[in-house]
Amino acid sequence: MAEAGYAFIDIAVLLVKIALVLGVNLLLLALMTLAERRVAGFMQDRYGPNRVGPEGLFQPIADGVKFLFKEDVIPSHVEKVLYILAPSLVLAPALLTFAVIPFGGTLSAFGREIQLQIANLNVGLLYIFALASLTVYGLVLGGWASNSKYPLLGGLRSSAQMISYEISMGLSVIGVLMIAGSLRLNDVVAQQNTLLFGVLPNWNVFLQPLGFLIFLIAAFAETNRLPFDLPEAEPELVGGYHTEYSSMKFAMFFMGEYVALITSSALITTLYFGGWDFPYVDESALGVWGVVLSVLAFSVKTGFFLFLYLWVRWTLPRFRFDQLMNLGWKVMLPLALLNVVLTGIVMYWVV
Amino acid sequence: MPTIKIDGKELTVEDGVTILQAALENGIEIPHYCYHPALRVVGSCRLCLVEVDNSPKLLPACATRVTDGMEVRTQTEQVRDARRSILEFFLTNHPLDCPICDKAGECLLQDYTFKYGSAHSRFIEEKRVRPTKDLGGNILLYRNRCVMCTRCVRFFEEVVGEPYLVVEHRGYHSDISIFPGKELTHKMTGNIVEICPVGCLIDKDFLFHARVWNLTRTKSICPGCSAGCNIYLEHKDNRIYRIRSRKNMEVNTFWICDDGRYIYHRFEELDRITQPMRRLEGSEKLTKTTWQEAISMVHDRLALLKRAKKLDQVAVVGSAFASNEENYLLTRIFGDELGCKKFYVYAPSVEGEDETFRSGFTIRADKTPNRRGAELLLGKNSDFWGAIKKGEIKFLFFLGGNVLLELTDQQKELLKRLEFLVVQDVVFTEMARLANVVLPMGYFAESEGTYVNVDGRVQRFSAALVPPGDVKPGVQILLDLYRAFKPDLKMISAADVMNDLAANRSEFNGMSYFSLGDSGEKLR
Amino acid sequence: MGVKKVGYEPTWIDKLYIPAILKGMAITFSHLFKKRYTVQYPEEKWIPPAGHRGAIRLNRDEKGRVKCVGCEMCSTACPAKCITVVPGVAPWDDREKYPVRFEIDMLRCILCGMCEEACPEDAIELTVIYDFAGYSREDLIWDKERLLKNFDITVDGKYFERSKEETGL
Repeated sequence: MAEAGYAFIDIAVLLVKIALVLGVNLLLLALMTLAERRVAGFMQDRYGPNRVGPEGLFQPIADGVKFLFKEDVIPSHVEKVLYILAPSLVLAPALLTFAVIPFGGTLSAFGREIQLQIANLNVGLLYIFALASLTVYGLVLGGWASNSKYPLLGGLRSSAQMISYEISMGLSVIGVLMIAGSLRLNDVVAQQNTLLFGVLPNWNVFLQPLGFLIFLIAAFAETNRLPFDLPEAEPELVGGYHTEYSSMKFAMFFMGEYVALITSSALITTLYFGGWDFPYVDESALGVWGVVLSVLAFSVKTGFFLFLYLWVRWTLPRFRFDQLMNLGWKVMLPLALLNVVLTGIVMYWVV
Repeated sequence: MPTIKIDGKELTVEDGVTILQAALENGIEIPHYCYHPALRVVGSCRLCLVEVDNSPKLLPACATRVTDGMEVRTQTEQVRDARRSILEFFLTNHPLDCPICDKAGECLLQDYTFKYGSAHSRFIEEKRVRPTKDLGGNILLYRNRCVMCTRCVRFFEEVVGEPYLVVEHRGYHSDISIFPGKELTHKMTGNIVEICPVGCLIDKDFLFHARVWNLTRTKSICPGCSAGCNIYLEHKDNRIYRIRSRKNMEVNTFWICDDGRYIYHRFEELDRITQPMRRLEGSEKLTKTTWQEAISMVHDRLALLKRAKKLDQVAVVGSAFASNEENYLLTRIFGDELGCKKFYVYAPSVEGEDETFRSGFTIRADKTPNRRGAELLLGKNSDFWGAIKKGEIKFLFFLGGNVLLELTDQQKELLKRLEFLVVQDVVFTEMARLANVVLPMGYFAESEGTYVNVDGRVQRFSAALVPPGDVKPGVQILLDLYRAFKPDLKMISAADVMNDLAANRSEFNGMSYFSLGDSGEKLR
Repeated sequence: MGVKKVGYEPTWIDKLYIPAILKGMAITFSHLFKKRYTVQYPEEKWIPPAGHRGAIRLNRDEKGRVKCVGCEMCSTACPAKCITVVPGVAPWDDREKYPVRFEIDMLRCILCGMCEEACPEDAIELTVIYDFAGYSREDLIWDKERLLKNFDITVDGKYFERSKEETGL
């Protein structure tokens, strides 16, 4: 009886966590669409949308309603099944990725330790990479199923780009793994939850500056954000892979992109900025307040990277495709390899 | 035949012409106001001054006859100077009210000042202001604008032969005035508005109605009487704003009478038939129908009669108000195609006398435009009423065109004896109300064709307006009917009909729309 | 002919691009706090500079009647052919001609100001009104009354202080 009760609480806690993460993600996604335009406005000495609700806060709701009520056009020339499947293939992996990211410390409640993380996988990092790779299927299939030239070009570009940058991304993370010695993201965070030389927080960004830079750039490319948004490239490809999409299907592509943004920000935070670690503070000693602090720290860090995405987008122009490939294969890849070698050498001497 | 030189251009001209005539005939422009080809030369405006040979002073081109070997220069500094000065004089008292002057756009003072005058006025004194005078009839006299060319005065003396206007006082005080007790209600009055070189004489009928440059001119023939005066229909937005005379030295020279000038009002606000109508069997009322239905009704009836060998009961009435093409098509359809023999011409009897003026311009008593053409094509029999009375006619095709048509009660009774009446007309005449089928046609400004005037001159008129509703030009209606009998018909326009007519009727031999041109051709 | 090389050779630091990117980002960041140029339209209104060519008005003479004499110079000069004038005999003793009907199709009007230049009476003028709209095509075919109203609401230079109800626009 008691065991059944325990299991029930476990499941309930898990469901609450899932609901929480999903809810926060979707809310954040809505806010991001607004933030994108408002930040763009501010950077261009404008206001951006500020009419719907206070400071335009309800603009995402208006947009959502609009998307819902738009006619859902399915062109006659498309591959129907894949065409309809593609948007969800983009959105779903992006949402799933968040499952392994720890967004706070460990909470003690109901007589148990509740980790603020949906699934504490021992292959967390691999899981993330696996799912991130899946996103490209959505884009490619969307482009291909649309059965017209711009989406097809967009799909091709996205696959080429994602494969190219995934390699550098994967290699750059190896440095982190070598330091943490685990694929479990909790371990990575815990490893960073100390001090370096007693002064600096022991964040991987300080240990792996080159790795961080490569990971950051690759993350931009993986999420199709400017300056690497070639698959969409409005002026060239009329929207790329989602040219033929309308209504909620288009919105799902859009949402997928922003969720990927949130996930990758969280991931950067986790891998290089100590995750939920609030520097110089021992969260576990503060009880519930420590957990709150950790969640806050995680949120602020993630928020900063979200802002960075916007900031970069409204600063840098788009790459040309050959430049993109050059950067990916001739610069990023060798540097990532170098980073692995350097980390190895340093680890050999230090450890 | 003296040979002269104008501006270095050698010209051989007729004996006794003036320099101005010689120049105008050869396309050399010399500005002039008081000279008018139909009027006596007075040489009062001094605008046509030119340099001649070794003459110490400039000579008026309108009053100097050419002599052999004469050398004329119209563009020297001295001549330009003189023109500029004279125009300046004209403008001392001429108000600059071109914006509200109906003449603007076709004003010689405007044109000449623009071309030969000075761009600036040196006149700083007060301009003389004289009140506008109503001369009676349709004429307003804007005395401020007058340049004392006396064209209007001479017009009444020489062309009409009945003086109305006179120049009062002399020099600076000169003023156009009307003889006491008279009113400008003469039928030729409208012409003085046309010949006035400035906006001094203004037609109340056109007053402030439109600016002249917005009007489109269409060449036409006045349908008011059998004289066949050449006219311009000036129209805008599918509405005629005024009618002006069109020069044709063989017919009306420069003039038209006021009956013709205002004839377009006759066609405004008429009870137009705008759709083909038919009477259902035994019904009192006419109901609207389509062209296809209406034409096939006429066709079916005629086919029925043909099968029953009753075509001798069919009579066709052509019209002196209709064009040659329309009347000719009747002979083609009913005569050549069906073999009917009974052709009549509707033409009201002539009342009163012709009115001839001093210059020879005549207003005809015959108020039909094409009696001669209709009778030539359909014969002179017009007594279809008698034939109906005798019961010889059961089917009547009536081509109207007279918007003033009225029937006596007796005639209405007679029409009820008919079994089938087809009326092709412009308005709901009493005749049309009694018809079985009504075919609405356009009036003269909405159709094209030719008329034969009283002198036997074939003249062409063109369509200026788009007919209202479903109305078609008469020729098109008859061509449709013709086509019902003869599906492989090649003719599609009035011009085609004219060519067919010219090929089949000796009087019209060799004529075509093209050869008729603007001034027409005499019957052979 | 040799080729003259101009410009600069990027140093290795330049080739890293990172300083340039950071510089650019600093610039965009600084703009977050700069003055905004947006005019918050319905609440705040942009005041056009002198000589602005906005909607057309018909002026009134000193007695409050339409100043236009119906000469059709404007409609003649109009390149868009949007002005329709139907002139007639004026009902007043001191004036001869006036426009019975005066219509401007603001859907066609290109606000070029040719009518204003052509007018011999200074009766037609372009105003500061730039914010006019209508719910139907008919709404934007302005008749004489509407054009005279434009005069009434702009003649004192206080157009932008008037309410929507007052201007009817």
